[in-house]
Amino acid sequence: MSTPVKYFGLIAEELGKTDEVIVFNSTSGELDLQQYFEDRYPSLKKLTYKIAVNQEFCTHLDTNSEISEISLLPPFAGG
Amino acid sequence: MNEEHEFYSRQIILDEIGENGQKRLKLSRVLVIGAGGLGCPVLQYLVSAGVGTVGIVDFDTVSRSNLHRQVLYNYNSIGKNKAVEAQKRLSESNPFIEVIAHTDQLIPENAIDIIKEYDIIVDCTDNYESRYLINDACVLLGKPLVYAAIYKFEGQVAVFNLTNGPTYRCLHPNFPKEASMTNCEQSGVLGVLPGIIGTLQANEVLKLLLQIGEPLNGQLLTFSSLRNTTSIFRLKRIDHSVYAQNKALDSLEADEYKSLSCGTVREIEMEEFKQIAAVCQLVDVRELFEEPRVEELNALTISMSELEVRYSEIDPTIQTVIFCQHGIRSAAAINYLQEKYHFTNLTSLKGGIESYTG
Repeated sequence: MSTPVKYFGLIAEELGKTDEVIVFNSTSGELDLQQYFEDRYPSLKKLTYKIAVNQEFCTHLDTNSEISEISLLPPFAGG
Repeated sequence: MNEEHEFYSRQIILDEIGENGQKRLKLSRVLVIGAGGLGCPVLQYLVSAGVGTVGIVDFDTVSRSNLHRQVLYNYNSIGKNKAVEAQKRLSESNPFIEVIAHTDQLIPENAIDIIKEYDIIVDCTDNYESRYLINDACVLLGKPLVYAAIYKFEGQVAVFNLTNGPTYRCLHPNFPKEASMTNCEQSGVLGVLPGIIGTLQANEVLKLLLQIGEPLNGQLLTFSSLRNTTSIFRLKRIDHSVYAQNKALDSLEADEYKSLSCGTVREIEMEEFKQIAAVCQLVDVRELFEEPRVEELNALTISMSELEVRYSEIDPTIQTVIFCQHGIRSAAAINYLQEKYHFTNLTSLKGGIESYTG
């Protein structure tokens, strides 16, 4: 399953990209997203962020469901 | 047609607003916390639209490096309190409403008293301590909170705590990890971004007051000014969040919101300060008009707004205590000097100079 992933703010800066397409194996069932991304990018472990699937915040991904987009959003404080 | 009616006539003719909507605005009270990059456009549009009472909370003074984005101020405002300067300018632009300046910093001890006087609270601050404090006070008081924040070329807007909807803590339950505390690094911003995001924020406030359209209730809108992309993320109310529970109104614990500024600022207790004050370098970052003056300490007086031009007067090789009124600005000054100029010899006077004489 090819899924567009968007990175915001400091997360995009840390990873050096604002988006990419990741292929999830649809047989893997429930996936812990934070675990998945921190295995893929260990430098994310030091940062705070929320994960959204299809614009809804959540912690796990059902790899069998219809996914149009995943987003990683860090908190912002500037004003 | 009277003058006041004529002032608002172009919005009164909108079916969604009309005479009743205008009256609704006139009777409402909105508190804008932070009169900086976001606060300036928010204030301008709320005042122009005729919100009857607009409160401004800001203890900070205008500095030269604010002027590229904080469009309510001009060169003559430098060094003056932002809430007072904004009030002056806004009162001139609309004589039919009241603008109130709160020049104290919002702290756990005064947050409830200030916020309870208003119908809608607008978070235009620039740090996590204030953002969590404002959220928690709004939850305790049942006030809707219109939130916005920016980072470089990105911004976010949301409406929290509206009729028991999600709160800021449902988005970010706790303070971010230290590496995510980006704000103190002065990460930089192009003035137009807070202009756009602040205007969106003002739009949400007006929609709530007029009860029109669909507010971003429990939704986080994000905008990238480089790509012109927007997204809206949906939030759920998390009831295990402590502040979603019924807490007593006096339960904002000061400690929860302190010492959380980014970087590490060493603090010195008053006792110890009195012992070493005579032998170390002292820097007073208050404005000259702030009392008590403590001339006997022979401190360098460099106000916050002068730091960027006068930092080199501070000797980086000897033990130095920086102080202000309550110990908050001095911590901010140290953060700034450590980050930008790599000072390693600075300590902040805990509690500020007010407790020195008191």
